[in-house]
Amino acid sequence: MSEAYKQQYTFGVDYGTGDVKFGPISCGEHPEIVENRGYFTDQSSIMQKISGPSKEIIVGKDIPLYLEAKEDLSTRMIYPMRNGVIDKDQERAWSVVHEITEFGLETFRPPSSDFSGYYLVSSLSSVSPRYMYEKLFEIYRDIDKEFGSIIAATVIPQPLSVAIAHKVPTCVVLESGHGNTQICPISRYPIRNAIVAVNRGGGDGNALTAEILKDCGYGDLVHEESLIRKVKENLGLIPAELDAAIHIAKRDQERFRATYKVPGTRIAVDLAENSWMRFLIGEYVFNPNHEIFQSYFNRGLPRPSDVKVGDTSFRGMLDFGDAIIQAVERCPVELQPYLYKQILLSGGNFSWKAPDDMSDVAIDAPTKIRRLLENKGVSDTVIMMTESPQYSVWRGCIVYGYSVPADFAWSWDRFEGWMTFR
Amino acid sequence: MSASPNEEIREKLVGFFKQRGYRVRNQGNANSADRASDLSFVKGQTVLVVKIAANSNLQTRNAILEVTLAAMDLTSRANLVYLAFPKLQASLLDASMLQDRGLGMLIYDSRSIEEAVAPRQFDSPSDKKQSSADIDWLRSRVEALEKTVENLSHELSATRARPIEPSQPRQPTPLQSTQDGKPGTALPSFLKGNPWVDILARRGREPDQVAA
Repeated sequence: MSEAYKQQYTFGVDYGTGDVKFGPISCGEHPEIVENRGYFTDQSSIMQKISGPSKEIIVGKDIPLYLEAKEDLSTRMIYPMRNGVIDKDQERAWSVVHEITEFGLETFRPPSSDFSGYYLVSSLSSVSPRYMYEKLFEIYRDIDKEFGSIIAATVIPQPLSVAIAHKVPTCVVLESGHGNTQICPISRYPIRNAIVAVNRGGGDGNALTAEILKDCGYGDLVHEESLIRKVKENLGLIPAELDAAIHIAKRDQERFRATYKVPGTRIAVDLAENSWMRFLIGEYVFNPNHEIFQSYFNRGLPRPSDVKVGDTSFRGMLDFGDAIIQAVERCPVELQPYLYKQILLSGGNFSWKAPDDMSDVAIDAPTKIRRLLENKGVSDTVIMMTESPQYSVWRGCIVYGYSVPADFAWSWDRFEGWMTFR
Repeated sequence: MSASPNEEIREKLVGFFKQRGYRVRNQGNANSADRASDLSFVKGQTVLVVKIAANSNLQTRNAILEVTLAAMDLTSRANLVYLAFPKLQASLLDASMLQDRGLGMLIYDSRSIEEAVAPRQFDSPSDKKQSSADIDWLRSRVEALEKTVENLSHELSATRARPIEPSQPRQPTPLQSTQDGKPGTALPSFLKGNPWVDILARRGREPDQVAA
């Protein structure tokens, strides 16, 4: 196939923890988005017998139309990428990935007669084990066999996608999702040996928020994760310095009072005299080492632990400043100043509010990272939030597919190139 | 009811309606309404007629009924119909009965004329023709809509009988790139001026540059 054909039919897929972003290059600036989840219908239910059989797995925007009892949600609704990594034997999770990919490709099947399949570029966590790449290629091969919609595919690390989308060839990318955070130095390609993985992400912020809600008398709300996430996003704050923030917030309770009403419901959360706790949520995500968190660990909050997934060790309690320094110091000394000068923060876990009337104590994510680095003697840093963080991984995939030559074959040594299926 | 109404009253009524912007309708062009009424006026498209009940005509109960019915008859031929009644006999008539039927009532004596009941606007014959045309048009539209609903109903039944097919795919739009393979003007902003395009285009065509 010619380069022109490949450039015309490049297709990107970002399997995010919460949403899947997908679409061909012709989507322009914004891909299509659906939630990264699949619902397994009850094939033995009486409704199936009455109204005729439906698909076993429902994905996309139609899911709410198929939901059954609330109690079944936890077993029937599968979020495959919830932790960034899918275990090899999680068949149902892989089935959802298959279904969503197929759904995405068929949504954009071109009517043109010259179409003989997309060049598909997907993106995975930089610490994904080899079997995840193998599984994805297997799924793509099956889809192509059935629908003829993938001529070749490749999988690239998410931090590389982010750097590409932001047109920065030399940088450090912090990609923080629900389950973990990857710190990946990039110099014209990811420096794999320098990648540092932290076993802490937005999900840990949610867990602490749930503990705080319990302490404040809202124990009945902590079973719905989406609600906890909303509370975290609306009430959580990053302190410039935790002890000072707690002191000021306890003294001036009205200014820092944390209240949140869930839209369209009667549910309202008011942390009242415990509103100072809102600073714990932000601090915990960036640095869980403050002694105040010990009491939560003692009462059952799971401490972010060190784990090994595939060949990669995930550090649980490493603060983000230390994690960046460790990653950069694994790179050549000459390169290090350039890396500190371009630090890109990507992913929903870096989206925090910093209200103007609390600017003396509450700060945004880039400022927090700069402070963490300054505390460890690293100054002269430039830290940026990614623009359109929701879309940057997908955009990186599109640029990659558009640019990498069609005849550059996949290599299991380098983990790059095109895997062809015909 | 065969005797002519008093000329003095007629003049007063003409003056009364002229003050309200009406002009006396030309008797030479009188239509059936004008001929049946004692006075006829016009203002724009509105035709107003007045049935005058003179003192001398109201000696019997039947005479009152007769003049009232004659006024009622005019409602099919004029837009506004008044019954002009002498003040002395006005109390013999129940004004609310006239109001119910859309008739206006004028009460007069030798000094003045007063409007006791305002008339209701009736459709003129031309309005009725128009209404009839409107009804015909609406009827034809309803018939067309009924036919459309019937067709849609058939199509819906047929669709239900078929298995659900995937939704219509979004149509990819043609892209432009320059001859040297660099992004053209129609490409998304994240491709334009992106140094990675050149870096990635050399993958596989240069010595291994993977830093790891």
